Amino acid sequence: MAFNPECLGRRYEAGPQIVDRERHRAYLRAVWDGADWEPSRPLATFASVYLLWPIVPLLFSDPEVGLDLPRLLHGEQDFWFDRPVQFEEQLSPSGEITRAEERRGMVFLELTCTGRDEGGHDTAHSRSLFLVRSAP
Amino acid sequence: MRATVPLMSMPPGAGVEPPELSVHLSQARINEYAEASGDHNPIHLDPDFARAVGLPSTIAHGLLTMAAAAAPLEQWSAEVAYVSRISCRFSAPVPSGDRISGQPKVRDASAERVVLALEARNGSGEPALTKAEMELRPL
Repeated sequence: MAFNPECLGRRYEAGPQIVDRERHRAYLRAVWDGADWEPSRPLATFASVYLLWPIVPLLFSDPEVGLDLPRLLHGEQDFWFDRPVQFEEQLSPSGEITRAEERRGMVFLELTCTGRDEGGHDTAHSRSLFLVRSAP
Repeated sequence: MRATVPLMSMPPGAGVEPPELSVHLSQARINEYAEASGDHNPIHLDPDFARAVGLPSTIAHGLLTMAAAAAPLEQWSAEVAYVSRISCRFSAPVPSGDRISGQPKVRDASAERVVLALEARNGSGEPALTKAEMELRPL
């Protein structure tokens, strides 16, 4: 399956995601090794769970994109927020391929995601740069 | 990890230093992160698969490394600020069993926002997270 640079602009949508406090507890156990701590808000990087990962499998399995997954690397990550996200609120993620190019055998693919709250306001955002190394 | 005083106000006063980073990314922690995040890519979980794609061993998820580096700063600032932006480049892999380390710095501080630099190195001393920043805004 060859990479298709014409995938630029392809969009993906996932169903509404609850910013689940119990799932956050499991996430916190994995990323935090300090003393007991019960944050009043989700960690910023928890957006990977409710915003990014609902979209990424749609991208990775899209035959119109043609990513060579075993050779894929996560190059850069950016999350930003218009306001503090709260536990138990519901966000609807969508994603768009905002960069798709192949240079010197290396694929550069950027995925930009937005989480919209129940009031229809953009609330959480992510930008991920994935790199696919050329086959030997 | 060295004990530090939580951030008490925005912006931080002179001499206030964010907590030092030192986190062990064991295979057990990587497995736990895979379960919690839903990212079951075998380069993080299966040593044979990792070696087959040219890695010396399984490696930590980039997003786990980022989260482990950020969490102490979130705790440090949680009473007075929220994270409005966090970004990084994954510049070197973190093999399972490595300890990531670094000393975050206040790069810019005003009443509206504080920007922290949070670069981290892997167990071999290579820069694992570069161009890494966290922006805080007052609650």
